[in-house]
Amino acid sequence: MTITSFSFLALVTIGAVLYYVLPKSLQWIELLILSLVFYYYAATPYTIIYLVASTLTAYFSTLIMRKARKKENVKQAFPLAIAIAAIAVNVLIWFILKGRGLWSWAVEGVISHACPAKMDAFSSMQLVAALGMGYYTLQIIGYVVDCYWETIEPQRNPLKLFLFTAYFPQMTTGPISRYARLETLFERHKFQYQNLAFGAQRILWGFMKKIVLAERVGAFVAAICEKPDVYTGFYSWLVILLYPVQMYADFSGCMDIVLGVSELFDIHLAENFRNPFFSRTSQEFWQRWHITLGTWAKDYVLYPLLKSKPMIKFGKFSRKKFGKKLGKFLVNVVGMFFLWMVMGVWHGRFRYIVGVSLWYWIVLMAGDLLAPVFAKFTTFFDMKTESFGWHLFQSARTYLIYAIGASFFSLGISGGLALLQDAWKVLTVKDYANPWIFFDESFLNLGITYGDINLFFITVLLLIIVAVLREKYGYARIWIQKQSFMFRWLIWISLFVMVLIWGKYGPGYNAAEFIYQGF
Amino acid sequence: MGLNEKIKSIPKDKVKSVIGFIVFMALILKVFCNVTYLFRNVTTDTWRIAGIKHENVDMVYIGGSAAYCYWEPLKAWNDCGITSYLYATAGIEAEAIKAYMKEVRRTQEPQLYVVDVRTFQYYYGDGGAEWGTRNSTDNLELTSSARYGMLKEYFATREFKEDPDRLSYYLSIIKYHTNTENLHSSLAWELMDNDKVFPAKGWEWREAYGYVEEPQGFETDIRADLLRNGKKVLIDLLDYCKDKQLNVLFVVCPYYITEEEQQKYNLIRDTVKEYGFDFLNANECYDEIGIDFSTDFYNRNHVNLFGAKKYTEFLEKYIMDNYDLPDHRGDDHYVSWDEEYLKSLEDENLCSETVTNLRLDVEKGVTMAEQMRETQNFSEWYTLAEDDRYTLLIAAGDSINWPQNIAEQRIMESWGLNKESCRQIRVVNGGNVVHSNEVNQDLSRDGVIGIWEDIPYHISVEEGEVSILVNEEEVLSEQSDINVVVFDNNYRRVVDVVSLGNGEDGKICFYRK
Repeated sequence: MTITSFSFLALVTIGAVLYYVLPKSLQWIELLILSLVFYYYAATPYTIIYLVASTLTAYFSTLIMRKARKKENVKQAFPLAIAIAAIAVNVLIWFILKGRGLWSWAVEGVISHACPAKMDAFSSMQLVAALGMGYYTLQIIGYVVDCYWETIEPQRNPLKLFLFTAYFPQMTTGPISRYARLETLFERHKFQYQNLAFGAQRILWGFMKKIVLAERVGAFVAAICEKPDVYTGFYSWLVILLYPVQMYADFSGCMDIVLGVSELFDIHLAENFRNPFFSRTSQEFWQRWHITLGTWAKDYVLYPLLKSKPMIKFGKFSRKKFGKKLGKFLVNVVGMFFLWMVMGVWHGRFRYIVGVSLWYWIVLMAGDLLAPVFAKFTTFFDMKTESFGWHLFQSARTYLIYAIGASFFSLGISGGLALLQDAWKVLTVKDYANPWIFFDESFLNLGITYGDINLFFITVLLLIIVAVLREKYGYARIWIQKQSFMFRWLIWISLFVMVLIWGKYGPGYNAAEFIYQGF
Repeated sequence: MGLNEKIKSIPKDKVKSVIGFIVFMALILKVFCNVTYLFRNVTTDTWRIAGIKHENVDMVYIGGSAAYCYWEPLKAWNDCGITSYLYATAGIEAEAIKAYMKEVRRTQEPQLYVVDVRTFQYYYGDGGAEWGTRNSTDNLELTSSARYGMLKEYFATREFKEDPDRLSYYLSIIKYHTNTENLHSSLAWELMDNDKVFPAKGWEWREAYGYVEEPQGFETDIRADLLRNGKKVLIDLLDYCKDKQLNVLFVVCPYYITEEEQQKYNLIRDTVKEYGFDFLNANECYDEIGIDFSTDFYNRNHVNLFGAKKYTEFLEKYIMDNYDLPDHRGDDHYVSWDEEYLKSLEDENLCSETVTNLRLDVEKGVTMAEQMRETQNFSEWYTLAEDDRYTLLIAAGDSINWPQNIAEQRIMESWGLNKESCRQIRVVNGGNVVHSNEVNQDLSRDGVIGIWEDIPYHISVEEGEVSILVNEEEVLSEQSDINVVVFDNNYRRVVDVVSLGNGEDGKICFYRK
């Protein structure tokens, strides 16, 4: 069962009806049952033991911390040790199961030297991670840390804590929720028509992004990437520029479905996207893209790190040694390095460390370092920095920076480098560019039709319109809600028909996988 | 608080929201149905099934192509005043018969159902019936419970080797939403509401002809069992008919029947009769019908308009003798039937002329074959033999003499032969090479030929000896030269066997043994 499947929609529909029909005191239990049913059909069922293990470590560790704090004779370091132990257990489970890409090469190296006969046995060893492991592990760590910081009270009902870990809409691709926000899971919820309407609308919009746009672009990009020797020149540029569109439509489409489903149950999850391609800087981009991961990393990695004694010492030292500006910059360099490393490592493979961590760390730090130069440059040339054209340029630059990182993200280190090299040749090698591919119907050999191309432009235009409305009104649907009912209905029915006809689903299609489902 | 007060106390906004929600959902449902109808596999079957809503008939003929190719409702109207409709779809599956009866009963109250049982003959109980099943159900209304009942029965009684993707049967838009070609089809748009009058009460004229031999030796008293679930489907149907006290005549119409098939029909007859229903196997009444297989069919399983005319006359007589259906001729309410009948006569004339011409064209093959056999001129022979009425089975032996004459070389080349040709196999139809082997490779070939693709052939050029068998009979055995067997596709027989050697003048020496 995936969140774009009919069975999922049926589960949600039945679940939502029961949710408001059953006594309100049973609502959280129903959500728990729905989560278990979803997990049973969507994942390898036995892997639920990992969720149980994570929940139990968090449950007992936080209760022990709470108890210890009440006792006067217990040392201050004890709760910290408990919190670290709980976090370590969770990180270890994640590292073994989900982070295999980070350590298996080293183990393989050792085995191949020390005991080559056992190499096959190691390679064929199956380690099945739990569904959504990357997401719920961060949630649990956040919960333990919040309890340690005493910003929240530990949950005393282990089943409720388990629901926080395993809440079914967010199991596929997050968002990474905070406990304080998800406490509403255990509250009583009254039926509100608006939740039903908004939830359904958001699900529909998510489907549009995922199965109309992302799947279409994905098929095109995959066809090019399948034969990198054949499809060169501007094809490489197409891959570089289209992959972010695919990624955004896929991931944010999934988030729309997730948030919409949750909204049906009157549970409002945190937003993960806020028009990231409107960002004018890469820093802003990461405040709008995968927001819950970014804020999690800031709150639980960057800020504690900057407040730590060694970092304070280092800050003092560097300011003294290199001056106020450079000293502050160096502290930032170290802090951001850890932040980006955590974000890259969380993705579980070296390609992600390169595509996410190193790339953005370098870009952001270089941006910081060169900011005065850029400022002088714009002043010197009298750039109208508040004009639409300048904003567009900045957004395009941010998009391109993301696209370059995404090349590594999608194709790995060598594949990404080869793609970028090929694209670079278009700009630097004479007669290498092949602009005729845009005019000689070469695209039609890649399994797409003119209909697909038209649909791509239509859906991207819709995405832009919705993004503009969102910037202006908070949400596009708020604006739509203010329109006359005929216009409103026309919009939603048209969207429904678009998804129904042009969605890539049914026999021959597999829209089951989401790019961000693997984390 | 009284009920009135309670109702009045409900906020107006809430009432508006609820009404708005219901209307919106109804609209969504309507759009969903219309889009599904627009994108489904639209054929004349779809139209035929949708068209019954506009009728009010005394008899409904249910079945597959063996129903809509055989029974002419307007002829029956003109002959006996019976109002009937063909509720039939190509490749209908056994499970669909009951579903179709249920569906008919939503809009009609027929006094007689005629059910063609040929589909039970083809019940194999596996999942290879996707086409027929989709064809049977896609034509039904999405709101029809019969549709879902049929699918439930289909999946419960069949065995599937692979996941059949069940959901796409129930919600057919899942299967068909990529069918954007339908947007170019006027019929698809016209059937978007699944509602359009079908002219001629489900009958359509087919301009086709095929020569068929009359089946021989199929008569038998033996009963061959149906597959377990096939019998179950039949019993379910009979139970339903009995339960609803329907008047049903089960029929088998004339076609190229085999003994094995007749054995199954014997069993079906027994089962049907046990339930007290009538059964008529028209294959036991060829003389009574007056059917001539050589003129009245367009393929082995279907009659053309001439055969349909004879069958309709036969069946309407049977119905008039055994059932009490009213004669509506002269009734003011049925004036449109007369008008439609007159219109159908015009169509019949056109179709009749076309089918007759097609038959004459096929028959011309006999004259051409005679000319072919009589000629001693290779070019003249070739001109006749390259006609698409014939398939040429060509086998070249170990040693051949390449003709010196350029015109003849070109003929050889058109068969894909060349100077070095030896141990070559070619199958040529209408001047097109449909099979060829590489030099000294694949030295034998087996296949089927004829318009029904049922006559086996075997060509071998192994071990220096050429051999060609047609229908398991050796028609040629040679050692050298290029040998050609000419097979008449329509009459499915060998009409000429020639060998091509090299004459003294450098031209092809053309001889028969």
